[in-house]
Amino acid sequence: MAARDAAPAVSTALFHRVLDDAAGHLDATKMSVKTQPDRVKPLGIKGLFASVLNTIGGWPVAAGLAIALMAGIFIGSVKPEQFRGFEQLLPQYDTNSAYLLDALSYDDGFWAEG
Amino acid sequence: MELPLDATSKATDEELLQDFSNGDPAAARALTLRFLPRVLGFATRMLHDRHEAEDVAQEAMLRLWKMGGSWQSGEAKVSTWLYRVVSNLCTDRLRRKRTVPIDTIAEPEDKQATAHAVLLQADRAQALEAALGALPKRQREAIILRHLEELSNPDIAQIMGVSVEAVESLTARAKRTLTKLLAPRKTELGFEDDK
Repeated sequence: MAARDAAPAVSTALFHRVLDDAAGHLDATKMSVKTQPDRVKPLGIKGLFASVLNTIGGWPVAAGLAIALMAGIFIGSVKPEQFRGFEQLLPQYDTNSAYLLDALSYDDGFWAEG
Repeated sequence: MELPLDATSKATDEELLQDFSNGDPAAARALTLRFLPRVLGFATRMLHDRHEAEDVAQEAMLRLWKMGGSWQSGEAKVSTWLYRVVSNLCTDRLRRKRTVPIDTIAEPEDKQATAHAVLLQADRAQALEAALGALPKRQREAIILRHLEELSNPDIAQIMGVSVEAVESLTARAKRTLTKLLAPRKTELGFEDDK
């Protein structure tokens, strides 16, 4: 009982040092939260579409891509004989040149050095 | 400084710790009022050095502030955890200094004439502190936590990292050693007068 009653009293200085440590820890915690990047807000459908459009270069590029896509689908779905005569519509079309290009692509030795 | 009783909060230790980790400075004050006296008392009895005990107490509370956000509810009591931190910090400090034998401890200073009972109480407290200082560290820790901090054996077992049976054995041995150390001063400390 004597020893229990003789427990040391806490000094004012120690009390304030401990509270200062607590305040310092709270401040440090707040600072670390502030330095984290803000959470990115979800774009939504409209925002996502606008973001993609900006990435590829805007409306003109998007339109060109769309036309190319449609042409590719058309060419892939139509039979070759339906194209006969089509070449006459193309300006500066030279059948000989076209043949040469084809021949070159099959001649593995043409491009060899020496 | 006389600290007011911790009547400001009926919250549990864990609730206060959660409030603190959520940024509430009032929770820090409540926790300090609640734990700092106990932590300082335990450290002082273990180290017999007021300045070192204050350093240990401050360090232990700092670790509590840092622990706040990651406290796992239900695993252990906050008080038990804190006592364990103090115990470990005291062990580190004690390893750096020798234990002082009771014979080398100075006699109590002469005091002015006051009530006989008050003087006697002070002398007994000082004699007990000196005897505690002469105990092996584990016995000292066990008996301080049991009879001065008034913790239960299971809590002490958790703090010291031993079984409940080991705690009982340590406190029994500590009592026998203290009796042996204090017996020669029985008359001087007025224990015979108490009969």
